[in-house]
Amino acid sequence: MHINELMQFLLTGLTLGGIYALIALGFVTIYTVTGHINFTQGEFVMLGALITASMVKGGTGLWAAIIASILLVGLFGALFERAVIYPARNSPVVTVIIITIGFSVAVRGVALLIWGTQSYPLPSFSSGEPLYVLGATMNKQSVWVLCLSLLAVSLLFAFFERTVMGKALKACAINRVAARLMGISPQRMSLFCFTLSAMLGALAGIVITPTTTATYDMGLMLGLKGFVAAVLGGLTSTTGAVLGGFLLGILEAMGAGLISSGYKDAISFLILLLVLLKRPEGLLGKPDGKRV
Amino acid sequence: MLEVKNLHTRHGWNYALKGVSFRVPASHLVAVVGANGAGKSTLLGTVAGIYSCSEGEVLLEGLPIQRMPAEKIVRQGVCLVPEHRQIFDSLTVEDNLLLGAYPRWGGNRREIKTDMDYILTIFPALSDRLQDPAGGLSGGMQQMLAIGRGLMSKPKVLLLDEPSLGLAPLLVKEIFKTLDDLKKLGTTILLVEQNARAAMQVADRVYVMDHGQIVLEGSPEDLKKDHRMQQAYLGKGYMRPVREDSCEDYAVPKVLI
Repeated sequence: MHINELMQFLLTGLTLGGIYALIALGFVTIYTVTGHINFTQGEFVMLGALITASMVKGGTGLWAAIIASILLVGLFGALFERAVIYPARNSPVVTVIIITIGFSVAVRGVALLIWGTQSYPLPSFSSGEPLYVLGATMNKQSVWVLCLSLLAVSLLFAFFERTVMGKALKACAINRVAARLMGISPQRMSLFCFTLSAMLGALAGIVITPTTTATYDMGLMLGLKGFVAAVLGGLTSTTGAVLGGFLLGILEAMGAGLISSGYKDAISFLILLLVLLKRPEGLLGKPDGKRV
Repeated sequence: MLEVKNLHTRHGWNYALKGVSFRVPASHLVAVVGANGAGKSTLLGTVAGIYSCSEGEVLLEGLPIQRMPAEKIVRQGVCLVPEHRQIFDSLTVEDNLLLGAYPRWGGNRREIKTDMDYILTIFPALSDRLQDPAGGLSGGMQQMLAIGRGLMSKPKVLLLDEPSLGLAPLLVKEIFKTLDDLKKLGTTILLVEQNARAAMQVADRVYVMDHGQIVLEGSPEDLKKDHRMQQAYLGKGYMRPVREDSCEDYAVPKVLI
């Protein structure tokens, strides 16, 4: 095994990891604040990718299409929260999970009607020769993926640490009743989380499309991978979600390279099984010992 | 300032409040005392909007607030410092205080900073720990933080649920001293306490609750003389031998009616 090859797998893994981290952050943001697991997250990814690809095809400039698409998917996330999650806010957690699964199937169906089964390409964000890092090649799009996901993650962290809104979201996650007593409305926070997560998902879909192209069913697998990354990181920690995303990306790329690329998805779900069986609280989560 | 009229609240099928009425005049400290399970916390929870009442009214300066959700009631100026403090333990002390000012965020930030400095003069012990996670504070300091956080919203009425719970006697004394100071500064306070003796030292008026109803009311001086109050809550009379003729007077303290 040559070191260059390992380096190549590592770089591929990091690129994949950036995507997974963005999707995982969507899961974690919604879960910590509202207690719901939103399996529609993958469809946000798909919508972001397809809307951008269609707009670029229709003649819109790339960056304008990207921004418009992220905003549109954010709006879609907000409408989804108001129309679907809000009416079910007092239902048991399992009911809401099933609602989000059902809704994701419906969204995929509508996407099939609109876009059909063909795949939509998107040009790379910049052209030029690939970069060479320690003997491994890294195309320009991978650099974009890494940089944009790291930028989004840093902005999100700054938002949680530096702004009152971010702290209010944290407060809502720590103690919902006490947060209400401070005038923080959990319903508004929920609306905000869904919008934010939809935008994160859309970004993930957009940055990956130049490499993989966009199809109506791309959200299913990407959504599940994001969920695995979130569980890997403990489901309640934003740092955990980012680490989980990158770890999953690297393990997948290594597995695909060293064993067989056919096992790529199997590796992710094997990791999910192992985590759930051996360390259900994830890598960074705390054991769920409820204080009496 | 705050008026509660014939308030009824149910937990499932059981009535936790059965027609509670009282008034809290401006710049007064009114205490509601009673045994465990008398309905005191439910009373504060209902006033603050955590529980919804089935009957009755809560009026804040004449405005009915009993149908508003908790997050809206805070904006009207009623702030509850909940039982067991319920601070945001993984956030810093400073963030906890800042979140207390959340209802009036978007207003003047300098004013919020000034208010925080003012609150730190009331609770000087917190100033050295501003950047520490609130969960690492001692019980007494957490209680101070919870009260400080409540004050940051600049409430018209501050509701306090058992601030002495789980604290050492010396700290209880300190907390009640602060409440007395706050009252003198013009804060309107509704205090709920099991520690009747401590509550009566600072209160202007005391209501005694039992089984979801107000069973006694009066000024602390009057209630201190009331023999039922003495036996049930102030710990006098337990040791005296029971006389045949006044047997019911020495019954279990809960049966006060």
